[in-house]
Amino acid sequence: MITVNNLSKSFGRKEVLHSVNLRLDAKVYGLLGANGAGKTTLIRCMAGLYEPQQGEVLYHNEPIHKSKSFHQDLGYLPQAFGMFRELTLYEMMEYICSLKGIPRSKCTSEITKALTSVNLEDKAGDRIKTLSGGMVRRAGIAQAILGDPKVILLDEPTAGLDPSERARFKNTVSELKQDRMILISTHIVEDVDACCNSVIVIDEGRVLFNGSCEELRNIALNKVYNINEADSDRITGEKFILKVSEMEGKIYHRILAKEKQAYESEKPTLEDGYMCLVKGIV
Amino acid sequence: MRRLYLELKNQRFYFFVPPVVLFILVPLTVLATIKSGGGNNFPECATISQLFIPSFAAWWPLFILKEYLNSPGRELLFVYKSGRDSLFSKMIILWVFYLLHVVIVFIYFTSLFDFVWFLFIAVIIQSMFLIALGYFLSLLFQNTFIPLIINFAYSSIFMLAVLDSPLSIFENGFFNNTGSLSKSIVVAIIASILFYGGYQIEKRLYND
Repeated sequence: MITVNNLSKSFGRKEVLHSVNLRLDAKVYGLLGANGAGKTTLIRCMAGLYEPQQGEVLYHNEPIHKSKSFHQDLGYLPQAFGMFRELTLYEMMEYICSLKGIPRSKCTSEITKALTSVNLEDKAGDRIKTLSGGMVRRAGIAQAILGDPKVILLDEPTAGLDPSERARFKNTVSELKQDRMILISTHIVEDVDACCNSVIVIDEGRVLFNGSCEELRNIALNKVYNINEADSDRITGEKFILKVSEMEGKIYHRILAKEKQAYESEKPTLEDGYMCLVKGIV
Repeated sequence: MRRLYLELKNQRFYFFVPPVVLFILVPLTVLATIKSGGGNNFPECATISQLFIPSFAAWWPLFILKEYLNSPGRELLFVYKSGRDSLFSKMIILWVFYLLHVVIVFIYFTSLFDFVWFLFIAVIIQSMFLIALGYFLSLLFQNTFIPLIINFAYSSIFMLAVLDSPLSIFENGFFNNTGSLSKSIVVAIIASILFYGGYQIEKRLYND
């Protein structure tokens, strides 16, 4: 569906993306990376907002800037969203419908469907500026899914959402995921675990990993140990303390260790796999 | 047109500033000038028209450009290209929309003065120039505040202090023959160049 070929992007002397190659099909992908890893730049290149210095983005084997269908098939949520603050939510959605080229006869049903899926149908008449940060974020998600797009690029969709809104977002993604490519950029590993089939890990503009959630988890297989603080110094080789927790008055360290240890290893989570990759414990 | 309507609606109270200037401030100031002076006050009224009417022409365009240049999530306006109009075409439509308002003011002026249509042509060309300048500078600076300040500073300085400067788009006089439009032709040419320059920046910035 979407192919990223040898994509490089620089801002001045700073190279943000280094020869990125990806092939994305009709699945839900999580794009994981630390702040400044290049997630937003990659998404903006894929949305056609940035012209890369090298390489290209293809939609059905056609460069996106030449593809007539790409911009009609695209749903995009930017990292910051909150334009037309004086319009009502319904009017803002109507504006986006018009931008996306959705026929006016279909607008009302499309807007109602999108607002219902993010639980904002009762806020349709409210001005954008009166909505809370979480509601504006949900409005952003609603505009992205307007018109049944085949390609949905969501840049940090769950930022600022409370736990129930995040759960609802995951349900929305589950309902949407048939026959379309959804790319969710985030640094919240839990969100990727809950709603993505595949994960792409990016660090300093390079793709470190592209595979299934299971494969990413398996990177940390036999490398995760939950041990008493006192035993922490007995870990040999390269290690990284993931988490410090307290249980029954004792302090425990969740540790990633490169070498096999004398302790029993824990079942790895997606976050363990991700941390193994970015900390070089592989 | 529906999008333009929503963009204007998004301006809320600010939308009403140009109509208040055109339909209240200008007629009242012109009436007060006529009442206060004896004889023919047309040159003074022409000065008032040139001071107020063109300087508010760029108001709506700059507030619309603000959404494209400064609002959070503005990239959406450039991602969903299928139904998007160019900013250049919006500027032209807004100039025509403003022109329709100015026509109403000048219809009123015909009841006060004999020759108003040469002044009308001069004023709409000055309005076009200030819209073109606002469009060009906004895209150049990626900001609408500086062009707004420049717009009002330019109008005030050249209208009130140095009217006869070659850099001024404004003119003194009776506007009673085609000769009084000689400056307007140059202003129209410069406005076209500014529109062209702005359009080139728009194309380069937004990959059209």
